[in-house]
Amino acid sequence: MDFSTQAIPRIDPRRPWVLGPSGLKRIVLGDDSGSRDAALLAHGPAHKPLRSSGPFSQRLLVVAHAERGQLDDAAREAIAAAAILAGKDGEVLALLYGMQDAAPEALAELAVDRALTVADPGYAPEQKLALLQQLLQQESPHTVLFADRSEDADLGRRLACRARLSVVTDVVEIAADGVRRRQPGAGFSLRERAQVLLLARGVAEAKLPFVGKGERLQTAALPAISEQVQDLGSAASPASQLALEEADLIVSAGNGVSNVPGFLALAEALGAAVGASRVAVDDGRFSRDKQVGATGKTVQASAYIALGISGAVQHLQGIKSCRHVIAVNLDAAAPMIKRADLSIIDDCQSFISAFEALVRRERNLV
Amino acid sequence: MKIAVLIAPAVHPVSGRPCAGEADLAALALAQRLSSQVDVWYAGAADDAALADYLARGATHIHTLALAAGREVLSPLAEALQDYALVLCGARAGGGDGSGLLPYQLAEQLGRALLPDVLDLSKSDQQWQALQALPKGVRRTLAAKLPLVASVHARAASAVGWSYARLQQGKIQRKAATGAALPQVVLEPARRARALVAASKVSGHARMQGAIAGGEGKSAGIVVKQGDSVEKAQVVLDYLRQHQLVDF
Amino acid sequence: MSFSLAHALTGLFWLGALLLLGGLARRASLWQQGRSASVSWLGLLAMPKRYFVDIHHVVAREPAVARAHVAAAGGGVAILLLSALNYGLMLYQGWLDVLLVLMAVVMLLGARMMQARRLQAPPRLSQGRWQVLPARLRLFALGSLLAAGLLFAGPQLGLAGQLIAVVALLMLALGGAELALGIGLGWPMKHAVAGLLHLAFHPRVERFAGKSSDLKPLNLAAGELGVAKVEDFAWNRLLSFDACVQCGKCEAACPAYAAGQPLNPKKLIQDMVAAQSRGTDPAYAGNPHPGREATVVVKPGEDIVGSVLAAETLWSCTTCRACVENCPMLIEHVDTVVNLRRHVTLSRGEVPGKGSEALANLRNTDTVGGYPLAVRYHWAIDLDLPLLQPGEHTEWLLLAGEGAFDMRYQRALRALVKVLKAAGVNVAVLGAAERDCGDVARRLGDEAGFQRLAQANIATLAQYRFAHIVTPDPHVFHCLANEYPALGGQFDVWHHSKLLEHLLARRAIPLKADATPLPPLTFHDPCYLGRYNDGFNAPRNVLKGIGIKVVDMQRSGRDARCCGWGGGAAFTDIPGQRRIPDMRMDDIRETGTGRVAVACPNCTAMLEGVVGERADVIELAELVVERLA
Ligand SMILES: Cc1cc2nc3c(=O)[nH]c(=O)nc-3n(C[C@H](O)[C@H](O)[C@H](O)COP(=O)(O)OP(=O)(O)OC[C@H]3O[C@@H](n4cnc5c(N)ncnc54)[C@H](O)[C@@H]3O)c2cc1C
Ligand code: SF4
Ligand code: SF4
Repeated sequence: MDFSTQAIPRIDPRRPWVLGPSGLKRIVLGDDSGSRDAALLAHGPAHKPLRSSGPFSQRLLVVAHAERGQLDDAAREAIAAAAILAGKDGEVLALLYGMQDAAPEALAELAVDRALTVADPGYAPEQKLALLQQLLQQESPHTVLFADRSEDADLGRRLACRARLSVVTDVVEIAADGVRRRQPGAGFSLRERAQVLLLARGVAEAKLPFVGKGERLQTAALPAISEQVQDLGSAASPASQLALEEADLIVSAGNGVSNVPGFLALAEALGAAVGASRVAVDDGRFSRDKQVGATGKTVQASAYIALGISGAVQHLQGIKSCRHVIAVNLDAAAPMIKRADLSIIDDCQSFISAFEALVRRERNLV
Repeated sequence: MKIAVLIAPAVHPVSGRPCAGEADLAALALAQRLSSQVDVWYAGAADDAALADYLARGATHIHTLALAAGREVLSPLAEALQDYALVLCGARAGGGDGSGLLPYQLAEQLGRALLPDVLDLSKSDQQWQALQALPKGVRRTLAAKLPLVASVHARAASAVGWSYARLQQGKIQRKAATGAALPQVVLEPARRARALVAASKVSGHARMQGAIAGGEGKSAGIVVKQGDSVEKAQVVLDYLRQHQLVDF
Repeated sequence: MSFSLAHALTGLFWLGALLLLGGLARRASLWQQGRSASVSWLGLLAMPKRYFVDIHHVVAREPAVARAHVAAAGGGVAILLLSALNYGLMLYQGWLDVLLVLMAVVMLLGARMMQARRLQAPPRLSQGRWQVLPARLRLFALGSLLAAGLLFAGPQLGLAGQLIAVVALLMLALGGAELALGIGLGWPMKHAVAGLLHLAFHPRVERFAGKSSDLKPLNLAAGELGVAKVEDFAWNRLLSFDACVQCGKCEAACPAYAAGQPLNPKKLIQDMVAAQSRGTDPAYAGNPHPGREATVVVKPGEDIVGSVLAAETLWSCTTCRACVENCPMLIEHVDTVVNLRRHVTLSRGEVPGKGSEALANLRNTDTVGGYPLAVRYHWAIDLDLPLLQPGEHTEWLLLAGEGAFDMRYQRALRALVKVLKAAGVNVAVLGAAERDCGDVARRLGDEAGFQRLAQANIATLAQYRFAHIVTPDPHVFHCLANEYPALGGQFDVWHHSKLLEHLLARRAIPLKADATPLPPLTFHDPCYLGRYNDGFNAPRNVLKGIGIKVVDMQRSGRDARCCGWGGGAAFTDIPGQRRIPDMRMDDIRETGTGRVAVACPNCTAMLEGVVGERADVIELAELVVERLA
């Protein structure tokens, strides 16, 4: 790929590549891939020192559920918070569900000193609580940290209530004078640091300049305790049927999308929910429940890919809280381009087919 | 079957005025769908006006356990709710602490199972089945026997529309209650939270690089004009992967 | 023989009169279903003036129809009066027969003209009984002509005369049935009786004394929550529906109908007729609500909305008043729409689309869009616009309205402030103390929300000292000027177009001296400035004052087409075949100017929301600021 910097006016020519705040490389334009990788290597894991070699006199416990063997940003941040708070004599202990296969290096890279990895049985709060209480007894960590979202949030609350531990949820800041949480309608509230902390996103910088020891405790099995609630299994609804308000990834079509079947095929391949501008809905290309904007739905996706949408204020109102907006448009002056984090100046139709082919290839969907 | 629904005023994020919380409304609507005998409960210090939205949106009668501000509501609530086989509450209140702890505490106190983030409830044979909402549209089916506490997801059901007539007809019944004093919290104005950052031994140059990249600020979007569609598609996929927006 | 014909006519006259009275009694019993209303019997005396002046005002816009109606109705009324004298009172005077013949000829001509028009009836006219009415009237006129002629010159004719007499009596009986039975059976001639009574007992009598476009407050404390069933209408509202002549003027003027949304104001009125008459009137034979069946099922005892009337019909209305403005029978469609909405909103809480969200925002934030009040004047941060403090005095208080939160409209507001400053106008704002005026709440039927906001605003304004209020938002203008007085708020409110006109007329605005001719443009009249407040000239004078020629659209001024925003329609957003602003943009395109001046934040947003090639949309103040010296 060869992008000349002149054609990319929004990028400062003095920084052909940049390191994102989370340590992830941002798109490198106007440079060839070789030099880009070389540049990144300088900050690669190989050079990171060990955070602390001990001996440890106290410890923090982080509990996290992995999805397909991977921890998400929120869980990484929880571990990073523990590592930053631990101090020289503090150990970062982790109880990780669904990471039985993780290599010690991977655990070390996460800055975990010692980890107990357990297969994730799905919904089993009583068993998970029992194991957790066992662990608390053995290791007596002074703080237990969870990411405050989904399964971790649930388990954290259960633990605090069952073991009657002090708890602060939605922690946005851990400081010397205590922890701060967002208080509905009242800014922050300052609390004493509790035994259980449930952490909101952004509480710690996940990118760390050090590694942990990465030791692994014996892979434990969950204690055989009967559950009051039975798990009858879960199912993911197909993305196309996903309610827009709930979707995490949305591809949205505007007046510039003429090939609707192609567009829907892309959504299918990506596993993205389908949205549309009012014009596309008015034309009958999409049903009304797909409309995004002032008179349609307000969406909160992490990523919103706007294809052939000009970006009228009424449309932008609906995507105010989307974290990443990607625009594809022929017109580089369209307001959507100003809102977007990444803009592609291209014809929608050819982009859609190229993108769909690429996604299919990468996912082995053929 | 009698169902108890717990509600509490939410704080409107823009104006700070009391209003109905989304999840509590969903709990109310779900309960009304399941049974014609729904009792609505509130414990706390809010005045009747703060509960008005619930009346206007279908709660015909609210039982209020009136407590002084800064008192814990758990024990009076647990006492009042003992006889209800099914207790529903919003997964998270939009006001007060909004910590989402109450359903857990209540289940613990009442010694019952908790069904979290419920989208739907239905009875089958001797059991109740719940559809639980997980992130990214995943749904999990849970089954349990009564008595139960369920925390209801905000999208579970929509309450009837806001109506002035219902507001006028609705009744709030107050009963004095007592609860232990809660520790005082210190409130501060909102600001940008400071993230924990590890002290870094990286070179000044590298730190500069990081600083230039800035926060997640929206100032500099990247615009890609050159290349063919295939290359541009690759750019988009790279971006999605770098930000962990796709999982392949 | 002549003796017997005359007596037959007497008999026929009294029979007809009795049938008419019986029919009227039946109809009156239907009207009695409604609630009581405070009316003045003096209205009966005012009837002629209202008929000849106020109705004429509307009808005269279509001169051919007006002439036909004057001839047919005038002739008909004269025939009836003369018959009452001559035959009813059995005077049997020959000279009265001569007059009768003359009037019959006039009526005949009128009915002929009507019949001719019916041959190429515009689609807005109802068919069915209405289509054959002119023929029936001709029959009646001809019968009168023959009978009276016969009686005048009769004795000579012998047997032929007797035959003619029989024919004449038959014609009179057939044609007269139309007149006598109309009111009782809901036939077309119902309109004559109901229409006259409607003029006497009009639910909005003040419209005969001047402009009257304000919605009337509900007495919420007394439990008034709008109209659910027929019985909840005031009786004179029910009467007003019966006045409808199904001319379809409203249908032709209605933007929602043209856009294919499920609203036909004529059908709406006829739905009300069907509801009150329990469906005993002849079936409706006009255009349906677009996309809907014409037949209605009346279920006695049920709420109107949901049975007779679909909720979507109700929510399609933009409250633009084009129907009211065009109705020859002075029927008040908007009142009816809002009365029904009030029930749906206040009692049921069923506001569709984003309407309920807008109402929730108003309750929770006092703004339609859910914005913090504190940011309303952020656009003026560098304009040195004083914030009025309680107790301080300003000449002009500027209320920016909801447009202040719209980045696009902020340009217009900045332009307005600059112009006012350049003209040395002493102006200040309320800042965060300004709440929404309540327009959207009220039009969406949330009377409780409106009254709360209005009372709060009135209380706030009472703390400040100012001489006049100026606002660029016609909805704010209308609410404060016309609707707050009923709640105790009396203010001298100006729309900015009038203030700009005033300043230009006094040469208070320093304009550029150079006379480079400016390209012409067209002007879009906002409903709430134009039809609601007769503010047609001020904006045009402003444009003239800065040297811009206005090329009016075919539908402009009183006939202007709504932009589609009003009445909360942009929020309820009922689907149709087209969008109203798209049609308005077509109107604009037809002028060939490529630019349109607007004088309302909502028109600005609606017209700029049109996609594809479209005219530039420029606010009045933006045009003036460009000409500042
Ligand atoms: C009161 C009100 C409420 C509204 N509510 C909403 C709402 O809820 N949601 C909403 O979406 N809109 C809403 N609108 C309409 C809004 O103002 C815009 O008209 C609409 O969003 C435009 O849709 P669009 O971008 O798809 O179409 P256009 O404005 O026609 O834009 C199409 C875009 O596609 C690009 N394009 C064209 N062809 C191609 C191609 N081959 N490849 C790539 N790009 C191409 C063009 O450059 C252009 O930028 C509302 C308007 C009003 C007045
Ligand atoms: S309501 Fe008025 S304008 Fe409409 S059809 Fe009836 S008489 Fe004509
Ligand atoms: S007010 Fe306007 S939109 Fe409503 S019925 Fe009358 S013409 Fe139609």
